[in-house]
Amino acid sequence: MVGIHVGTVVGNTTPQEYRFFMRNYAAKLGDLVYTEMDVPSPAGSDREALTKERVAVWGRIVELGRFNPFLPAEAGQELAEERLELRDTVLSLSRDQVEGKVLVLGATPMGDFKRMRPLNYPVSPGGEVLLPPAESVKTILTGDEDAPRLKLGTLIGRSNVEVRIKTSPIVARHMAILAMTGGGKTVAARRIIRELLTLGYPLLILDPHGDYLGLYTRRDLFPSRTVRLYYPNLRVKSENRDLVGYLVSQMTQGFSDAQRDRYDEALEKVELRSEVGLDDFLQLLVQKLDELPKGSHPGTVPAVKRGLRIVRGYIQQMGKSNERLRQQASLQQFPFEPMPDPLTNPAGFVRPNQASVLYLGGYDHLTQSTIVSIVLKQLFEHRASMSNAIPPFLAVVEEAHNFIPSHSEGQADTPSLEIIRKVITEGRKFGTGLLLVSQRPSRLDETALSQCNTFMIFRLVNPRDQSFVEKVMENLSKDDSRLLPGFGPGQGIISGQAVRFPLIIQVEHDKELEIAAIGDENFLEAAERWSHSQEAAATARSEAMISELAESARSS
Amino acid sequence: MHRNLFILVDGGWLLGGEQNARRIAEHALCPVGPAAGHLRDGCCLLIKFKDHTPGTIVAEGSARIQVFKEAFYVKCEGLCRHLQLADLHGKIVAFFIEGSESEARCVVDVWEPEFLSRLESIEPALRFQSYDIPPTKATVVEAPHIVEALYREASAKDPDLFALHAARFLDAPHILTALFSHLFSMRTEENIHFPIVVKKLAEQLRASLETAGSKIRIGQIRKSHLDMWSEVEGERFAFVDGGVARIASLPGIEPLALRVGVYSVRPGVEEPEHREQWSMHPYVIGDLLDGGRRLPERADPKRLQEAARYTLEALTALLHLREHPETRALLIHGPLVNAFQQYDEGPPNYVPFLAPGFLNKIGIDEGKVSNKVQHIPGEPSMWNQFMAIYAYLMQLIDECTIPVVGVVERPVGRAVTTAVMDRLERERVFTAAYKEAAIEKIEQYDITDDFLFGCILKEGEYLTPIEVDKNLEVRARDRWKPVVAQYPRPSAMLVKSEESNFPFRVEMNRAAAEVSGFIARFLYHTARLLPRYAFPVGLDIVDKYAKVPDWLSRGVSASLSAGMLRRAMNTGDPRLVSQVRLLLARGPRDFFFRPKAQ
Repeated sequence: MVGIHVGTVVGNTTPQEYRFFMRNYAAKLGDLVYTEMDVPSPAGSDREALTKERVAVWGRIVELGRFNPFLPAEAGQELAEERLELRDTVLSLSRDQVEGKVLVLGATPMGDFKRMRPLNYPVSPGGEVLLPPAESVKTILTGDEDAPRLKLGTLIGRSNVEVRIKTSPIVARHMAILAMTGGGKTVAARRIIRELLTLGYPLLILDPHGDYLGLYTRRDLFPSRTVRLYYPNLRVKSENRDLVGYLVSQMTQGFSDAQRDRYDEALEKVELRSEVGLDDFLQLLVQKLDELPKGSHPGTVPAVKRGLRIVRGYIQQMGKSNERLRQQASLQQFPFEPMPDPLTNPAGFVRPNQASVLYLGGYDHLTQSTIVSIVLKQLFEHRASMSNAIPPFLAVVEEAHNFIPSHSEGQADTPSLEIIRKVITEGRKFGTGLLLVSQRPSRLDETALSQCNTFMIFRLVNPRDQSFVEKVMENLSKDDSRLLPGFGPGQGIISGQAVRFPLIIQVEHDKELEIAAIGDENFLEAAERWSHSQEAAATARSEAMISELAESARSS
Repeated sequence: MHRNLFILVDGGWLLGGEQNARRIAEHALCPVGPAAGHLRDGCCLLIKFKDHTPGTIVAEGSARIQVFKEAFYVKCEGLCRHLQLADLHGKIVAFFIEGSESEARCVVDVWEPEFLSRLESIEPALRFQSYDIPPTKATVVEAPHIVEALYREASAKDPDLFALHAARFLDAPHILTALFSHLFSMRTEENIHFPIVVKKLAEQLRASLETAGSKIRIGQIRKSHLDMWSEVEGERFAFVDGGVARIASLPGIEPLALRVGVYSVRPGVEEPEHREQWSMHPYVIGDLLDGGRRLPERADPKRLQEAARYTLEALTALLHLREHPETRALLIHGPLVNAFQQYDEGPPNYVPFLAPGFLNKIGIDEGKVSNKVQHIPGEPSMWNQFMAIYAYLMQLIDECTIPVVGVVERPVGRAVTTAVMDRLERERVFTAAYKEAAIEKIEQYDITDDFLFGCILKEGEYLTPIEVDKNLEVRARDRWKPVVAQYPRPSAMLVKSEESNFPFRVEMNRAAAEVSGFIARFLYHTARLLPRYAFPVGLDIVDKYAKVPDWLSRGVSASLSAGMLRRAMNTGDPRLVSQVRLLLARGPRDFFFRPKAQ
């Protein structure tokens, strides 16, 4: 391996980090570098026969500072006040020094970069810091495993070094993608989904905004793979006849004991020969409640009916809203289907070579959470019961803070929280993985998030989010977290079991999987269009008529 | 006790009565009323006032307080003459007195009555009437808040007369630190008088320097960065400084090496490679010495280091000019000509000879040195001893057509003060008696150039060049006296770039002295780029560049020590190892050598 000289190790070093002086413009923040040195040989424990071994110590540049020791800060004041240009004076411009800090990632024997081990001897001061050739970096990134890998993008600043991450820790041991809006979290999630779909791994995508509908548009990219688009459609059958009770408990203040008794009586009377829609079932229940004999507390039945009406109102309103969204011009091309029953037809959701996108647009957070909890719970139970009804799968949870909010959000009763916690702690055993995607990490449930074994963090500016991420991610150093606010779109740090060591990456942007209809709408144009619409004309006409009426009232 | 006070005297009363008029006219006694605060009979006063010639400040150093028939007078001929000619009717004569009971300075100013009424209208709380202000005859004002208010207003009206710049200079925090450190070397009772004596001398000298007829004077620099930098655009300026590496852990070996750095820059040039040039000239002292000509004793390391540094800095400067003859000016950090009389080959310093081989390599040989420097002693000739080589280099620099300048950060000696006193006496600006009296004070209070000219000069002012003698023959060994006499006498000036900081001393070769105005302007503007530090920034840059950092010296020391010990161990001789360990363990305060308690 012949690297490019970038600097020299200086000062006190440790096996964990070292500082170096860098040649100007020789490397960048985040670059992987190495330095050669001797370390005690692993075999040399016998004190009489001390041996040493030549290794390459790999590290990442986590800090770069530039200063000109010959440019006194005091001079800046005079230059500013006098509006002088520095080059017009005798001040020096040319003696910049760049000093950096390298976080040691590990050491490999020279010539065998696949076997990386922790460094247990301080880095040699005065050592040469080198930028490795692309091939060596690729080797060091992949190690000696031949397991399938997902192509994520490239190293920042080294577009010739592809970053491919291990698949298994993602699908079984959960991953979190965290970034502020516009940071690139959806781009990264889409990249992973694309790679997994190419591999044929079963995917369930819980999509509140329609960010993943592009998978269907470009299904030609995935030959012999299926992309199915679902919308929520809760149906009731004998196996889940208490669904309404569950919904009432989540969407209202729930039933009192007396109300619960009356509700149970009505539920008993409903005969379900086949499955019915939730709306019909609610109607049936109301009918049965009316038929119940009047009890000692005449207000109980109306209270139960009120609860049912509220649930029905919610479901109807949001169902309509979802339907309107699906029917808008931009989404008309998509063949949405009512979602299958996860209890009786889990394979509708999860099967090899299929990505199922459950479009949750139009529903409020609570209802989305309820729907997700129902679907995930039942799918996970299929896996946990070892029934082999469905294969292992990965569920992608977009806007995860709405499904697993933290305690501080005061939403401990969010329906999906419990099942997601369960999946994240036990899912590994049963082949159920989660990919959590969120723009507000500090609003996520800490317990759930800390169970993720791989993290991909993009631009984060909010200090609370930054410190939360630092707390949850064990191997995110202070230096790394300082990088977070400076990342550009699609730039981030990946750390955890899917990579050998934390990497700063540029995620590949799958532009073809985006649909212009969502996220990129031109609202300026839309506002302009509206002023020529039928609705605008009606509004103008009505306003004119109202003023005419008012005028005539005054004149009479 | 050092205190400030005002004595306000009604102008009508001062000149009105027969008795007062007679005492002023016949006895040069200016009445100041029945009291004069803490001032004693006989208190020495420096009187300052503005003469009738507009802008001329008169400073009389022979005035004193005199008590006569229970009344206080200021005895001062110049002041009395001045007051007699003045129209004081309805006006107030203000005496601002600052100092101790026996030593004080006194600024005399004449105020219109509106002066006080305006001040009171701004600050009604002063309630002047309660203090008998304006005075009916004479009023002593000692209340601190009144004195402060009057001083503030009066000094704002006439900052020159009140020498506000000197007050600000002596009161600046970092000057105070230097002042206290200076005062510790003096007797306690002289501490009290020091600031007043410095101010008094400064005021007298400033007045003398402003006297028409003196060739040496105070020059003014107009601050204009734009003009300065456009004038020198594209021209090369070089800055030179040396740094010494010490090997702390090997006693007796220092100095081992030194290096001389050159920072050469062309202001206004765009391309960095054409704009700046940096060069470092390292020298290992052992390699420079003449091994064939040994002295009976080892050289004093400190003296050898100094001699080597002064010589090699000058040499490097000349080599740089040889390579870049287009240089507009070369500036050295430190004196241009050092006091070099005592670096001879004899006891106690035993400063050795430079290797002819080294000198030849840089174009210096016996013929050239002997031609330039006459009467080099020794048989064979000591042409390559440091004193002769230094004389040779100094003459080359003095004759050089390119301005070469040495800049001394803080001029702590008295070379300039002495030269100025001699010159002003020769020019009959003052008498030999005054010079003697002033020098007595300067010696008594150990007043150095930095403090005195710090008070004399205002920001943007400089003392025009004056020749100073850095190498007194009397201090040299007899055989070297003829050589020492040939050391050039540089022209020195003092430039003050910031009001509350020490001025720096500039020593110039002949070419630089011819363009001293330009040099002063250039240095002032480069020093303004370091406003608080008040030292030319190019020299600050090269100082940092050439300085051997402690960590580097320490690193070399540790590595040398380890290497030495390892070699001793490799011999397998335990006695040698023990000796080396002892040697390495030795330090200035080593516990090995601490006396043992019984």
